[in-house]
Amino acid sequence: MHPLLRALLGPWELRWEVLLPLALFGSLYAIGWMRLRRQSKTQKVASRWRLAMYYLGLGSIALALMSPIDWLGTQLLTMHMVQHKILVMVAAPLIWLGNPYPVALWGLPFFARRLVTTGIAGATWLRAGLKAITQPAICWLVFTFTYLAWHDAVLYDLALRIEWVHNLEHLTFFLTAMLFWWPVVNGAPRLHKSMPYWGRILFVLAFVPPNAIAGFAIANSPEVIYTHYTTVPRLFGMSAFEDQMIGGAVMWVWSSEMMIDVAIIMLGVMSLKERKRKQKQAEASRAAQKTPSEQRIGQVEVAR
Amino acid sequence: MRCLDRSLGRVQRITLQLVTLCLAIATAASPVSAHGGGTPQIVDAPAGPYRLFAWTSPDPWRAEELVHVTVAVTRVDATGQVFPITDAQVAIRLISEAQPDQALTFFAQPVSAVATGFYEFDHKLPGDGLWHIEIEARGVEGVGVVAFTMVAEPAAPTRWLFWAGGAFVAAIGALIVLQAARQRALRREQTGQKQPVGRQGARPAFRIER
Repeated sequence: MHPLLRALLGPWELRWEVLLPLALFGSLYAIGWMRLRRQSKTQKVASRWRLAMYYLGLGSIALALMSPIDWLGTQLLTMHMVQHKILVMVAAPLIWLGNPYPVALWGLPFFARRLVTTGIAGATWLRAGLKAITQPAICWLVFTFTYLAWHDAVLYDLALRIEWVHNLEHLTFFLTAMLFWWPVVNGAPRLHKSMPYWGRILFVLAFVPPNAIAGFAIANSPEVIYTHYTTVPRLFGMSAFEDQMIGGAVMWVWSSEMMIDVAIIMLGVMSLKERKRKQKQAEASRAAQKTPSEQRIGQVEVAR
Repeated sequence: MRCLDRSLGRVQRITLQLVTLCLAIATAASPVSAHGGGTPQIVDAPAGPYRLFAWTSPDPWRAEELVHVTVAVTRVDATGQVFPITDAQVAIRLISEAQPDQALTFFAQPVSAVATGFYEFDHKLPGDGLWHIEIEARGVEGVGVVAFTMVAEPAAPTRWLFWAGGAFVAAIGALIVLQAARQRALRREQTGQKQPVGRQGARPAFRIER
């Protein structure tokens, strides 16, 4: 077996700082989901697919931060890039698809639920502040800036050398990714008017050029940018330089492809909605074109 | 357990099961004390039949604080392929320049089942000044020794002043919030104003979409 594959199949690492928040948010969601399902089994807020999406999102965080990927990330740039992609491109959108705000809210005890809803739904400074900092343009800028800034050679090496900086890097990646995906998935709480689908397509596609440029620059650099990887043993049959080429390609291709996929899905949803709208319009115009006698016959049939 | 199951509601039961599951995962997972790399001190240094790597943290070392040393023991075969040495005995000797006759010797432990060939140790550094660190890796292929020096700074001043300052600021903040709330309630009472609708009694947090 290849040493990298063997390492990937190795045991997971215990990290309380990851496990406890995951258990807390997972429990809140589970309780809220069951409470909502008890009220109605057919409602949209707590559906089975949303439950699956949410737990897949939490599972992705666990995979990124507690599986051997985490340790391998300190040895291989490629695995570190994979870890970051899982956090920002997989976990964050999956969690939003789970519709966490209303469901987890019902998992809270009554007083806490009222406190949160008063803070977010009422005319409070919290809502005003959140509304100001979650403008889609600001979300895009904050995520893109954070994402690119951490790829600076000094910051990246610092994160690999000092554990708390490494944790901060992952936390800011994940939180800003949540900000980025918020207007795209249009998750609750909805503090702003929903972005039109074409706007969301532009929003995600606008991330492709900066990401591709950064990934391309890393993959094609004539020297090793992240010097930390020249100070670790090359146990997986890849030189630091080869590793950097693959790592840069992962950053460049995975994120760009993800954004293009999302844009295609949005296009599909947009055309589906447009078709439905046209269908409704056609039905309405057909009903209007019916002669008075036909309408009378229709009314008689309905009366029967 | 069944009796407990019967006395709990469905929600509480599932929560209990989730917490148990998390604890089970936590117990099954291998505990690792440090997963950050540290500052490289020795990089691919030949030591007998081995090639050694060593990282230290924190940066800088400070007296009376925990210091961490990670060592990687590898071997390179004729084709240039690097292998981790998983069954080495790694001894770390700390020799203070001030007391060279009182060397501290420790045996580093394997980091985890995933980090094969990596060994680590933690120790509270007894004093500041220049420290000479010797790493000896012993395995079936032979023995290899490398050494480097570290400068440890004097112990940091006690932090109680920092915490006391933090507690004082928090207490002042809490007092301001309480005072504001009391004054607001008083003003309401004086003007005979009713509480806003949103704060009266139970109200659904949001309406369920059907």
